Amino acid sequence: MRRVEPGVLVGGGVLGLIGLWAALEAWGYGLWRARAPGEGLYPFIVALSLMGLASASLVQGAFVRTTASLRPGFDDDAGPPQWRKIAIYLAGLAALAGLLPALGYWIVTAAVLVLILRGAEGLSWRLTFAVTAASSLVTYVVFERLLGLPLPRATLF
Amino acid sequence: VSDILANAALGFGIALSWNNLLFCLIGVTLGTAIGVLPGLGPAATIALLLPITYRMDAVASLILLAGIYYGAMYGGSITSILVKVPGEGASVITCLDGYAMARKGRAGAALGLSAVGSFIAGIIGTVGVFLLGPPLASVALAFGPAEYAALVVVGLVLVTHVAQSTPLASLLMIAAGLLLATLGVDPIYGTERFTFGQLDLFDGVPVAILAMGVFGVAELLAVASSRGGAPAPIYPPGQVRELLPSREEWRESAPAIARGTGLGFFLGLLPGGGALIASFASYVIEKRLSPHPERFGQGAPAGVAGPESANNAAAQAAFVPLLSLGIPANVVMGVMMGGLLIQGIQPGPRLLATRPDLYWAVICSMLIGNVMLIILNVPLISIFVQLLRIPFRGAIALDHPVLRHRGVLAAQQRFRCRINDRLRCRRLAAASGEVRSGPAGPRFRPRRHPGALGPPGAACRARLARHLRAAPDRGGAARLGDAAAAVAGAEVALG
Repeated sequence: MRRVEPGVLVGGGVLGLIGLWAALEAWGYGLWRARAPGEGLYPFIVALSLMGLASASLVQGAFVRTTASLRPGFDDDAGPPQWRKIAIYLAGLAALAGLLPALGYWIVTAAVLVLILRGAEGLSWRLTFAVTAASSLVTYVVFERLLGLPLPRATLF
Repeated sequence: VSDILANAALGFGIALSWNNLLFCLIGVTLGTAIGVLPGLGPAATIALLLPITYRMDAVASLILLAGIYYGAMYGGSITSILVKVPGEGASVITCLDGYAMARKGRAGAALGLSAVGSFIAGIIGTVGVFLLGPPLASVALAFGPAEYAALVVVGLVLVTHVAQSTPLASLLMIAAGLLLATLGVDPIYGTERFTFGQLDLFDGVPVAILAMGVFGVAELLAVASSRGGAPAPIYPPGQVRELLPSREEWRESAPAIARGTGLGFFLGLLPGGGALIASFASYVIEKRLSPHPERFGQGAPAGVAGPESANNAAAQAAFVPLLSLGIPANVVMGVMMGGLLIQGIQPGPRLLATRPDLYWAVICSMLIGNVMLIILNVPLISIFVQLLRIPFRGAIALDHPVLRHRGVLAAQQRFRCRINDRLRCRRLAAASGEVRSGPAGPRFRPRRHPGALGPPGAACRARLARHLRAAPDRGGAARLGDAAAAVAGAEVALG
C-alpha cells in the first residue's frame, strides 16, 4: 500500500464527513411519513451515496496511482506556493460574506478591493484607490442609476 | 403552405414596424449586456422591466422581453470565454473550452464561434418554432414524471463523460451536487432541509451562483496561488481578421453547430431547464464523436460551438410551451407569463386563435432579433478581446464580479424566493381549486414563509398529487440536475 495523497485524503475525507452529517440530519427529518416517502428519504439516500463514493475514492487513492494533471498555462515548478496571497484572498472573501449584511455593499467591497489590490497584489496606494474608486463608480452607475437595482445597505447604521 | 405564408406575412408585418423594431433592438442589446454581467440574469432583468411594459402594447412588450431572454444567451458566453465566469447557467460548459481557447490567444475565435453558432441555432430554432411549434407542443406535454426522471438520469450520466478525471471522482461530485440540490424547502411537505434558518437558502442554491463560485472564485484563487506568480501570458491578436475563427475551426465546428441546434431545439421544448441540459448534452456528444476527445477541455472549437448552439436553440424553443400550452418552461418564461397575464392575455392553446398577431409577431421578431444580435456581436469581438490585455493585478477589479455582485445575487435570490413562493402558492391553490383567473391573473395571497404551509392534509395531498401528475414540478428535477452538473463541471475545472 502506498501513502494516500493529501488532496485525495482531504477531499474524500471532507465529503465523507459531510455525507455522514447529512445522513444524520436527513434521518431526523423523517424517512417515511403516512405510507409515503418523507422529506428526509431522498437526502438520506444521496448522503449515503456520498459517503460510499468518498470511501471508495479514499481506497482508490490508496491503491491506484493516478497522474495529476497540471493546469495549462501555469508554471507549477517556478517557486513555492504563495500562501500569503491565498490567505488574503480567502480573508477577503470571508469578510465579504460575513460583513456585507452589517456594513453594506460599499464599505465592505471597497475594503476588500483595497485589501486584495494592495495587500495581495502589491499595487501602489494611488493605483489601489484609483481602481477601487473606478470600480465603485461603474458599479454605482450600472446598478443604482441605469438598472435601478439597489445594492445592499448597512444594517448597523 | 399558404397558411404558413399568411402567418409569416402577418408576423413580419407587425414585427417590422418601426416601433417593434426599436423594442426588439433595445431588448437584444439589453439582453447581451445583462448576459455579460454575471449575477444579473434575464429573470431579474425582465422582472425589473415588467412595470415598464404595463403601459406598452402587448406585442411590443413581449418582443422586448423575449429579446432580453435570447440576447442573454448570446451575452452569457462572453464572460465564460474571457474570464471563466459564466453569465448564465447555460453557459457553464462554455467555460471549459472557451476559456482554454482564450488562454491560447484564440479568444476572438471562441467568441466568433459562439456568436455564429448562436445565430445559426437561433434562426433554425425560430424556423422550427414557426413550422413545428404547435404540433410539437403536444408531444412535449406527453412528458410525465417518469420521463422527466429518466431525462435527469440521462443528464447525470452525461456529466460523468464531461469530467476528465476518473469516473469515481465524477460520481463523487455528482453525489455532492445532488446533496446540494436538496437544500431548501421540501416541495411537498414544506420542511426546511439544511437551511440553517437562513432565508437565502430557503429556495436552494441557484445554479448560476454556484457556477460563479466554483469557476470564478476557484480561478481567482488558482491564479493568485500559482507558483510562477502569474499565469502564462495571453496575446490576443491585433488584426480583426485574425480574431475570427480559422477555416479549420469552422470545419470542425460546423457539424457541432448542426447537432447542437437539433438537440437544443428538442430539449428546449421540454419544460424545465432545457438550455442547461442541452448545452451539457451537446458537449458530451461532441466529445464522444470527436476523433480527438483529448482536446476537449484544452480549447476544442467544437466544445464552444456545440453547447452555445444548443443553449440558444433551446432558448427559442422554450417559447413553444409558453405560447402554445400556457406552461412556462423556466423562471424567465414564468415572469414573461406574468407579464402577459397582467396585459390580460392568457397564454395557451387558444392564444393562436384569439391573438394570432401576437403569436406570429413574436416568433418573427426572434428572426429579426437574431440578425440584430449577430450584427451587434461580431464587431464587438475585437473590443471584448482587448479586455484580455489588462494585467491580472489590475484586472482583479474587473475579474471580481463574483465579489462585486454578491450583494446583487443575494437580492436576486430573495426575489426568486418570492417568485417561487407565488408559484408554489399558485400550484397549491390550483390543486385546491382556489385560483380565480381574471384579467389581472390569478389572485391569491402568497405566504411569506413557505414552511408555514405545513404538511397538507390527506385530501389536499391527493389533489396536489393529481395536479402534479397533470403538471409535474419540473423545477425540482431541473434544479437537481443543474446543481449536479455544475459541481461536476467544477470538478473538471479544478482538475
